[in-house]
Amino acid sequence: MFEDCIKCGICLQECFLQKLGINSFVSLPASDDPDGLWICCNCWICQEHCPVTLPLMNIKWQLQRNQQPPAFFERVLENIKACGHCIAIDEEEINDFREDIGLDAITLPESSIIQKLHI
Amino acid sequence: MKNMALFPGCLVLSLFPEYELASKKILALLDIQTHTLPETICCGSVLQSVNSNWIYAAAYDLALAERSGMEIITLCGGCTNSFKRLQWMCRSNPLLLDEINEVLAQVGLSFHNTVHVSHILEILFERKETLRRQCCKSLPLRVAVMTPCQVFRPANVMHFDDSDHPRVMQNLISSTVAEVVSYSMEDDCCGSSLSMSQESVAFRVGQVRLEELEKKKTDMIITACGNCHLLLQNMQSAYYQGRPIPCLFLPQLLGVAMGFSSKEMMISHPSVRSLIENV
Ligand code: SF4
Ligand code: SF4
Repeated sequence: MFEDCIKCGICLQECFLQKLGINSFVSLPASDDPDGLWICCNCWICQEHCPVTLPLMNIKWQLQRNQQPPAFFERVLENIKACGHCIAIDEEEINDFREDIGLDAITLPESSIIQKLHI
Repeated sequence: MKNMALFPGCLVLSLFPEYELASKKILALLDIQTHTLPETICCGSVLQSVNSNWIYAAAYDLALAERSGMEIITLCGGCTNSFKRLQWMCRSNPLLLDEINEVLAQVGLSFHNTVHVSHILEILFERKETLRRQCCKSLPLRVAVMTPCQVFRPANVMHFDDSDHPRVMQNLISSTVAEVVSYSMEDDCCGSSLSMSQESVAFRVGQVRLEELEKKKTDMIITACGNCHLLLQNMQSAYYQGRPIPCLFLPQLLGVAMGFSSKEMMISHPSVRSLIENV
């Protein structure tokens, strides 16, 4: 995946987490250190500055998908399966509130839709 | 009046109705009538770490917008990024569009990749002259900007301002309503999404930012993304013990400058209200 990486370390210099002394995802290509795989907030700066234009974000997501995600992601996935959204939403409750403040009502998707989209 | 579809996304729908409401109200003054899209699902942004099928989630939402015949306005960085990147991927690989349409056919939709997606910052920036004319009230505030980085990067997909150093929010605010404080982390990501994998790291990023902003005597932080707002406002007291620095969504601030009351902009924070109402 990182075959074309020339170990120049530019991603390490550009990552704002590294500047704060935090071991982030780019330690993997630059220093073969995989501990920061999940320490990344998708700001794209490393990829934008990589001199050999490695698709760092896609590589990171692929590596993450082969791992057990942190517990939070599991909960998010459960919520999406239940109501279509990352955070649990109850249609009646949210629409009562939205009506009170003058927002248009929303409709949640039918639950079968999420399954049919293979999520 | 132009009709446009508003895609609030999961975070704004469930946590930040004030962002959606303030956006709708100020856009109406800019001749845009927004309609919150029904039956939407998550934009797919968070799913990218767990599932390559995030593209079907994004395509489903975009197909709903296409069916409505309206362009989409997004409010968060993550939604904007996954929608625009999916569109870019489909343009670079037409086979992907066929694959997506096979899946969408199961739910009675089709996607042609024709819908135009804009984050609210793009809509406001395109109309900055009108906006400037409509902002009748300037506020004696020193505000710091939290730019939603994913609206600007990757540059080859997002095509909006200088992607390494975006200055859209700073320009919009300083030309209309308040003084903008510059600070060393203004081009850096908020770090909020780290709270999903390692909360302490997200908190550290938030803390460093707030400590600098306190030193700079910042009255408030202006956001344009639910995710940035989540870390900097909702979680603030968990990692920062200094003088609280309240956050407002950009449309709320602009709304006040356009003549709306704090109540109409759903500004409930007492210290923000007193800062704004004593003008
Ligand atoms: S995308 Fe992740 S690893 Fe790259 S610069 Fe941003 S936070 Fe660092
Ligand atoms: S910037 Fe690119 S080439 Fe240089 S170390 Fe990082 S991944 Fe490798």
